[in-house]
Amino acid sequence: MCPRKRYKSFTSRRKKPTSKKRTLREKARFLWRIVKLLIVLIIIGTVALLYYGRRIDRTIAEQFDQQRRWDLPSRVYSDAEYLYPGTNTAARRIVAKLDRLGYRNTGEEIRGPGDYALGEGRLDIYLHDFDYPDERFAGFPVRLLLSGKTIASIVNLDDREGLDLIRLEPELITSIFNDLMEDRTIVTLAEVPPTLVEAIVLIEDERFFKHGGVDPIGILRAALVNLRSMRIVQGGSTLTQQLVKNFFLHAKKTYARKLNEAIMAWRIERTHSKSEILQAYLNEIYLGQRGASSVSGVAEASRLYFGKNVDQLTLGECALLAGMIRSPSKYNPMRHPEAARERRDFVLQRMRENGLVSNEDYQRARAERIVTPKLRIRVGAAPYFTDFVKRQLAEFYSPETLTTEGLRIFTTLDTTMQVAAEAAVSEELKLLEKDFAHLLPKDHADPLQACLITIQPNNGYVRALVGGRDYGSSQFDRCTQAARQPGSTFKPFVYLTAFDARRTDKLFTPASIIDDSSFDVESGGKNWKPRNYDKKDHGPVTLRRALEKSYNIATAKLALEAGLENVVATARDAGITSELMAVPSLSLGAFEVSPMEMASAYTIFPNGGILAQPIAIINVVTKENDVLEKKQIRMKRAFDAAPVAVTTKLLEGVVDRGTGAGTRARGFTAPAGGKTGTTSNYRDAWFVGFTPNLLALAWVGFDDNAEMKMSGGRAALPIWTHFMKQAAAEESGKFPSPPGVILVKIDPVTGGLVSNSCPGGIFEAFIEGTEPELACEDIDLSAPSFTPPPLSGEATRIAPAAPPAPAQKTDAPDYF
Amino acid sequence: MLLAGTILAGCAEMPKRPTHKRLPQKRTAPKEVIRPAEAPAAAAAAQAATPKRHASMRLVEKGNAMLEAQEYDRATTFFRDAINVDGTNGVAYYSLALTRARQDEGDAALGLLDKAEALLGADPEWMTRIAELRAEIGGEPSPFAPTPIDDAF
Repeated sequence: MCPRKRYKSFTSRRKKPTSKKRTLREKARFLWRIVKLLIVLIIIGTVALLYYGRRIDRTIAEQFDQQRRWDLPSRVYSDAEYLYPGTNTAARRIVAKLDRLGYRNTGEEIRGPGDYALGEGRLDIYLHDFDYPDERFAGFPVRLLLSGKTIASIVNLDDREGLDLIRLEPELITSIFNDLMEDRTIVTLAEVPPTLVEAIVLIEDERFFKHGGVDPIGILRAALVNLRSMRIVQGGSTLTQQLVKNFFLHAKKTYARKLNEAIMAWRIERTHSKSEILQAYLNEIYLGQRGASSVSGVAEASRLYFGKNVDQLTLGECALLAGMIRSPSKYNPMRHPEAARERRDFVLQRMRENGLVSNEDYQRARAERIVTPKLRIRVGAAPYFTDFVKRQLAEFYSPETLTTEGLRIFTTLDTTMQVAAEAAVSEELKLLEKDFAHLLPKDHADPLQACLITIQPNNGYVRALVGGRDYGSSQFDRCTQAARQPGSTFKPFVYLTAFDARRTDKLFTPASIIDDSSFDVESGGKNWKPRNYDKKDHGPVTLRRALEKSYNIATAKLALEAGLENVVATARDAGITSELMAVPSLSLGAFEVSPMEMASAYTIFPNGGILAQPIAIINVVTKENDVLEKKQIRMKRAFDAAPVAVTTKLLEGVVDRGTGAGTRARGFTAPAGGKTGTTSNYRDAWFVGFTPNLLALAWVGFDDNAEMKMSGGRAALPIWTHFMKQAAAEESGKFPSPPGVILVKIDPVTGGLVSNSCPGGIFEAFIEGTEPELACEDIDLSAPSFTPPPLSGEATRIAPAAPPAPAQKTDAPDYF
Repeated sequence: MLLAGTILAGCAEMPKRPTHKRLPQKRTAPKEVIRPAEAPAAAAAAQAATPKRHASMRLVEKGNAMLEAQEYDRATTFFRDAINVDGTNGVAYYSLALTRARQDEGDAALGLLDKAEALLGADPEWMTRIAELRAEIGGEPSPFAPTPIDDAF
């Protein structure tokens, strides 16, 4: 049959092809076409694969083989905190600080780094390791023996030696991320405990050392397990595939991604050692969230969940961390401790089954209590302060450098003060709005705002900064970016000028009498007439009283007599750089300054005339700990100490008896000086005050300059007092008393020496040689000594000594 | 001589007197005076005995060791921290000034010396050291330098 058929077909081809023959020919032609197509496809496929392979290789080379594999955020740290005998742990809120630093309260005893335990009369801390800019500190256990809440002594628990002081490491305030928002601490494989590596390999990819990137056996086994369980309980991805997925690809589950993942894993395995891959995996793997940023890598996760370095993890902690990779959220020990414990025990069991841990170690690890640091909901503390720091950094470093190079920025921030400052602003503003709602404009579009700055006068460190009531709704920093009229907070510079023989046209003392009676003066072609807050004239008063009660008329007269140019020079020497003009309204704070400028200028008072440049950044170091930037404490003597001391004495009076007495009424008892300020139409409320070691400025107002009908004493002083009661309540120091300043007992009304006709009296500060010589009864108050001096310059001319003039409308604002 | 004396006295700059309104021909009244600046010797001694000062001085000692080893950056850190712990420790300011001077940052050193001077003014020995360092840097004697108490009174 067959030969015949063949013959037939042969003949049919030669002669007249039959239909069968035709079919065969078509089939052959079709096959040939298929073959051709296949060849073309193979060629195209090969070219595409080659191209794809080269592209993958290039991607791997470009991204994975770089020395800097990951973009590391820069980190902004607070200042370190020293603890020594005498430190009040309650006032400094040490336990809260330990919580913020990620220490774990282990109850009765401390077992390892990052633990603390508060017992009867003691606080034990196992200090963290920390890389300071010029020193690598290795943590050790210490015991703070407490007398009440105060540290009585400090003992090193390793050698039982007494210590003079210990240092708590700086707090991480914020990280400067790029769009990826990944927080990571890079470690080498050698720095990771073998137990953790073994646990991860066991639980995530048992055959890691046997496959070449993709593990068909693993996939098959996972499929079988999943089939048996009728749900997905095991994944077939190898560690290399997981690394590829996290490092190069996206998390979306698609076939294309899986294919890419497999090919890239295979390629990486061909060009990299298992150790390299493992190290990259340990640094790459996603292990949870800290606010908006992701926590990547075992080192960062170790810090977050256990408050310690990765090389300090216990067996149980290693097992839990390894187990968390499957689902960091589900097994988060801070949020789901029970699920975390079960997962840890499962990993431990697998480790025992595989002979990785002894039965004894297994039992001990299972018995470990899982202790985590306190969960910190809030991330990105001190946002206005960090913005202030970032603006300074932006002058030297590009945004790319800041978000990728892993710089560490050490600042002057005192986080305990910052927390207190934020609470003071938030709580007192709410109280103001509640208690004085009738004084605030109705239906105002924007909320009342505030600013609070704290500076340490003796070194210029900016210790806390709150630039507004809610950073989320407004990032405008009212402490450093706003320019506001300072009102009466400017007055101390007038008095300082008048007390300083080197600065004033005419020398005054706190006992000098000045007539607080209305006058007017022509300034810039306009008539200017200062008025007092209470709209009254107070007649002859001492300068002390004039400043304590913030009399405008007296102060304006004083400025005119001391010389307006001299007052400007004083303000300039105190560091005020904003525009100031030698016009009479200068004395009452008519020229806008920034709150930061004003706070810095006031530091000369507690600092005895020495001006310390405010600084917020101490060091900038690379991730390798090379110092890039080192800001130094800068100070200079700007004023003679004696007139500064005399002015400071007056400012103490403001707080004790004058417009700032509300601080005392609210229970602030430490030695302090300060000055209230309120500007025209109640647009700004200020209080600047200081103790010998701390200065704070509070401002309250609306961004659009709306009136609020509240004075500095009512609106800003409560914020200041609230803050200082926490930050400086313990202070007992004194303000500088330089040689040449004496205290003389005088009558506070006449400024004359006390005598039988004016018993009692107060001790007033004088620069020696300027104190009064006459007794109170010999001082004539009936003819006040004010004679307005002629002003230099054409813009301002004093009007003749005016008889009480009929009230006239002037442009002069009211300041008090 | 009397004439010359009168002329010279007339040429001398008279200190400005404060503006007290006085009635003519009034007698000078007795004064009750306290000199707070006399306290610093005792106050400084008391302050030097506080744990805070003790802690600050420990840091100064560590800083001095670094300074001796010419580890200026580390010395700076210790002195800065010493100031941080106790802002009234004049020795810490002096030591920081000395470090600045060794790093050829004379201007920065002079400012710190001003502060050291204000805090250590009661101690003649320290005043001498400050004056010497100031001279070494090439700074003018401070016009505001407090006079040691013994000389002032």
